[in-house]
Amino acid sequence: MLNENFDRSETPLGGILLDVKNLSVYLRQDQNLREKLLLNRISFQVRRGKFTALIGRSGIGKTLTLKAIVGFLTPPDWRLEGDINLYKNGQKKIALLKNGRYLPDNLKALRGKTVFTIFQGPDSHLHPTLSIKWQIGEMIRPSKPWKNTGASIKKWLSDVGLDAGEAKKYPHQLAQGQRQRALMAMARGCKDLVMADEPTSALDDDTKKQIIQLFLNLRKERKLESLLLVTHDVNLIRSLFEKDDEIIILDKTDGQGVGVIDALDRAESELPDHIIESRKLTTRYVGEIPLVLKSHPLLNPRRIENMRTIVSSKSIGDVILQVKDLRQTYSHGMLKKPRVVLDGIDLDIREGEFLGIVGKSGCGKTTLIKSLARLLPNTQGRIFYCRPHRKPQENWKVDLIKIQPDGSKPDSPIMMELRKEIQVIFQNSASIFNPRMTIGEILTETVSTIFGVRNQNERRNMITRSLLDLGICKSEGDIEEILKKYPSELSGGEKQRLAIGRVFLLRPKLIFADEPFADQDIITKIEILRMMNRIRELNSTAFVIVSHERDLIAQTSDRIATIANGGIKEIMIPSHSNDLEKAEFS
Amino acid sequence: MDSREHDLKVGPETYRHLKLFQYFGFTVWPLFFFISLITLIYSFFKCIFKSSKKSRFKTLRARVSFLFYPFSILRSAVKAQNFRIIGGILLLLPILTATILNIFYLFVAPRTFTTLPLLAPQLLHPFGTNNEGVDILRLIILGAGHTYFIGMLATFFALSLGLWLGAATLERKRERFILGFVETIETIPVLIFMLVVMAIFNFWEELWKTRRVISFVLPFLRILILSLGIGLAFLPRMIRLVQERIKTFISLDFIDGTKAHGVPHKRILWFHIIGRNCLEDIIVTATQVWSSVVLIEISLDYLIAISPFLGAKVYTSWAGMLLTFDVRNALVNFLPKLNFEHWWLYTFPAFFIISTIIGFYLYGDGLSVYCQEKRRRDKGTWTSVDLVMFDLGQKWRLWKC
Repeated sequence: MLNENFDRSETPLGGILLDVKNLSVYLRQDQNLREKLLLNRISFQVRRGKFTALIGRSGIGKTLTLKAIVGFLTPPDWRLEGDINLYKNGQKKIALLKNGRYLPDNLKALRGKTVFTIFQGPDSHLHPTLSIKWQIGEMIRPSKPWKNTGASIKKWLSDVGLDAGEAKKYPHQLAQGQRQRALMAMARGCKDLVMADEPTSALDDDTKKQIIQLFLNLRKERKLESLLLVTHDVNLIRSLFEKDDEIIILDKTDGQGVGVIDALDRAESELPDHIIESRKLTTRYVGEIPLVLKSHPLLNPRRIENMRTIVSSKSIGDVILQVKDLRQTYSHGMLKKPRVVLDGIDLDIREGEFLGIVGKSGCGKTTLIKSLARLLPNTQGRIFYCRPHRKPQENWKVDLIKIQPDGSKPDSPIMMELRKEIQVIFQNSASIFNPRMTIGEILTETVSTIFGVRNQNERRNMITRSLLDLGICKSEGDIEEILKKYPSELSGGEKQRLAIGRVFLLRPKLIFADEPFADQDIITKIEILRMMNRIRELNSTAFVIVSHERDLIAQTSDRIATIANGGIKEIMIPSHSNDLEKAEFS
Repeated sequence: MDSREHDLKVGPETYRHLKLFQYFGFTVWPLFFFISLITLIYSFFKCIFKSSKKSRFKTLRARVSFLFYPFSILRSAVKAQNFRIIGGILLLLPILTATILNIFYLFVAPRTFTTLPLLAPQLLHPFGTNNEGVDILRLIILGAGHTYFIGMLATFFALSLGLWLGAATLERKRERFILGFVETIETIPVLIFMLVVMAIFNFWEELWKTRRVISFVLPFLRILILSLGIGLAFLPRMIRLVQERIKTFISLDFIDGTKAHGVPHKRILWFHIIGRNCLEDIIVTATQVWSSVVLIEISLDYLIAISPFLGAKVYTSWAGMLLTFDVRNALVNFLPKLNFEHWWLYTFPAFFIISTIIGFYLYGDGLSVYCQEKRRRDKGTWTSVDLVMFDLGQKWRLWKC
C-alpha cells in the first residue's frame, strides 16, 4: 500500500513542502508576441501537515496558480517566470519549474503520486465511460501489478464513505456528492500534497456539510495531510481550518497579506499588526487597488447579514404571473414512461417582488424556471401572464401554454412579443454569450433585432444609458472599452453583470434568475444584488431567484418558496427584523 | 471507311466541336466578367456614400481596402509563417492567370489559328505546338477556364445545398428523409455514374446538334451536368459536416440563453450557429471539396477521351491533352511501344494538373490553420489550446510528459 510504505518519520511537520518563488504568468495574445501579465511575482509556501487556502476575488488567478503548479500552462499560449520547488520527504528538493521552464520528467514523476489535483466540478474531472473502480485503480497501476489493486481500492473507498457496490458504477450513476467522494478516494493515492479547487461550490447545503465532515475526518486520521485549497467561500475555511493553518490572499495590490486563522474570529480592529508583519511574504499581484489585510472584504463573514440593507422596501403590486397546476415531464423515447419532474405547482408572482426559490439540488428548480419561460416541451397546466398597464380588451391576460402549444412553430409573433417582457438569466455565466461576438455586437443585437431600433445613435444611447444606470461601467470610456471585448476576456463576475445589463436593455416586467450568485465572491454578490434592486426600483420588475444559498435568499427575498418532491412544499414570508432562525427552511 | 480511321482523321473536322467552346467563351466569360465588374463598382460606391457616417471609410486607402483583401490574407499568411497558404497560392497562380487570360484569349486569338506542327518549345511558342500546329500554351489556357469553372460550380452546388439540407436535419421528420437521401448517394460510385451520364448526354448531343437553338445551349448543358453530377457526389460530405457542426453548437448553454432572450430561432441558427461558429470549418471543407472536384473532373475527362465509344469530346481539357496523338495512335493500333519523342505535348499539361490539385489541397489546409490562428488572435475561442503549426514540436514534447 502506497501510504503505508511512505515513511512519515523523515518528514517534519511544518516543514516547507511546496515553495513557489516569484512566479509570474504571461498570456501570449497574438503572433506579434504581445503579452498580458496575469500574475506578477507571486511567492508563497505550503507547509507539511498544514492546510493552506488561496483566496481572492473571482477571476483574479487562483485557478491559474494551481494550473501553473501542475504544469498545464504550456507554451506557446503561456510564458512563465520564477521557480516552483517541491521538497519531497522534507529534504530532497525537486524542481518543477526552473527559471520559467517546466522540467517534464519531474512533473511526470510527481503528478498523481505526490501531487494530486481536484479541479473544479467533479463532472468534468471524471471519465464518463469508465467505472469509478477503474479510475481509482489507475492511480496505483503504474507502481503496482494489476492483481493487487482491489484491496487498496476497497480501503480508499471505505475511507471516503463509499460502498464497495458503488465502485462498479459509472460517474453519471452517482450523485454529485458521491462523485466528489470518488475524487477524494483517488486523492488517497497521493503521498504528499492534495490541491483542491472549489471542492464544495456546486453542492447543496447538506452535501456540502458531509464533504466538509469528510475532509475533517480524513485530517483527523492523518490520511490527508497537506491541502492547498482554492476557494472564495470563507465559511468553508472557517469550518475546515485549524490553528496555524495559513491563508494566502491574491489581490490587485502591492502589499500582500498572509493571515493566521485566529485572526478571522476576532473583531477586525483587534487584529494586531505584528501578525501581518511577521508573516509578511514578498508576494505581489499586479494592479491598483491597495489592500490591507485587516479590512479585507473577503474575510468579513458578516457581509451576508448586511445584505438586507441593500434591498429597498418597495410596495408590491398586482399578480403578473399566475401558475395553476403546472406539470412538467421529461420524455425518454416513445416506449419509456416519461419522468415527472414537477407536478401540481400553484404559484402567484406579484409585480416588483423578490421571490426566492430554494430546494435540494436536483429537485427541479431550474426546470421550473425553464418551463415557466416556455423553453421546454411537454409542459401542462396553465401559466397566465397578466400584462401590466394594459386594458382588458388589449389581450391583457394570456395563457403562455395556449399561445405556443407543443409542436407549433417556435417564433409566433405573440410569443416573440412576450419574450421581451419575460426574461431569463441563466446559471452558467461563463457561457451565456456567443463566444465569437464582441460584447458590443451582443448588446446591439438585443437593441436592434429584438427591440427593433434602427437608428445607430439611438442604439448606442440606449446601451450607454442602461450600462451607466446599473453601474456596470463608470464612464463612457469604460463602455467603449468593454464593448470591444470578447466574452472570454471578461471575468465571471463581469459576465454575470453584463448578462443582467443585457436583460435590462429590454425593460422586462419579469426576470427569472437561475443561481445568479453561484460561483461569485461576496463583493460580486453584493454588486449583483444592488443591480437587481436598481432594476426593480426603475421598472418595478418582479424577480424569481433560484439559489441554493439559503442564508442569502432569506436575507434578500420578499417571499420564499421551497420545492421538494416536484411540488411546492411551503411558501413563507421571512421576517427580516429578527434573527435568521425564524426563516429556517425544511 | 473504317470507323477507326474516321477517328484518326487529322484536320479541322476532328475539332469541330471546339466551336461550341468558342460560343461558351464569347458569351459566358464576358458576362461573368461584366457582372463581377458591376458588383465591384457598386460595392465601391456604396462604401463611399456610407463614408459620411462611418469613420473607417475616411481615408482613400481605407476606401479601397476591400480591393486588397486577397493580398492582406497573403500578407498575414507570410507574417504568421503559414507556408501552406503561401505555397497553395503560388501553385494556384498558373490556373488563376490562365483563367483570367482565358477571357481575353478567346477574343484575341481564336483556336483555329495554326502554325507549323510539332514545334519544340521556343521563344514564340514557349510550350511548343501540337501535331495540328496549335500552340500548347493557348490550349492550356483554354482548358483552364473549363477546369476552374466546373470546380467552382460543383463546389457552390454542394456547399449551398449542403448548408440548406444540413440545417434542415434539425427537424426529426426531415432528418430521416435527408439522411436516407445522403446514404443513397453515398452508394453511387462517382466516376462510373458520371461516365454513364456523359455517355447518355453525348448520345442526345448528336441528335440535337442539327437544331439551331438547342445546339447553342449544348456547351452550357454539358458543363452544367458535369458540375452538378460531381457536386452531387460531394453533397453527403457537406450535409454531414453541417449537421455535425450544428448539433455540436446547438447543445451549448448560450443557445438557450439567446433563445430565452427573445432572438428568433432562424437568426440563432443562421447567424449565431452557422455564421459565427461553423462557417470557417465549412469554407475550409469547401476548398478541399474543390480540389477533389478538380481531380475527379480531370480523371473523367481522361476516361472520356480514352474511350471513343463514350464520345471523344473534351480534347481541350488538360486531361484530354495528355492523350496526345501518338498515344491515341498506339491505343487504337495496339502498338506495344509508346513514342516519347514529343515530350512537350504531355509535360506542360501534366505540370498544370499537378500544381492545381496540390495547390488546392495546400490552400485548404493552410486556410484551416489560418482560421484557427485568427480565432486565437480574436480571442473569440472555445478552447484555450488550439494546435498551431509552428509550435507543434514543443506541444508534442509537453504532451508526452
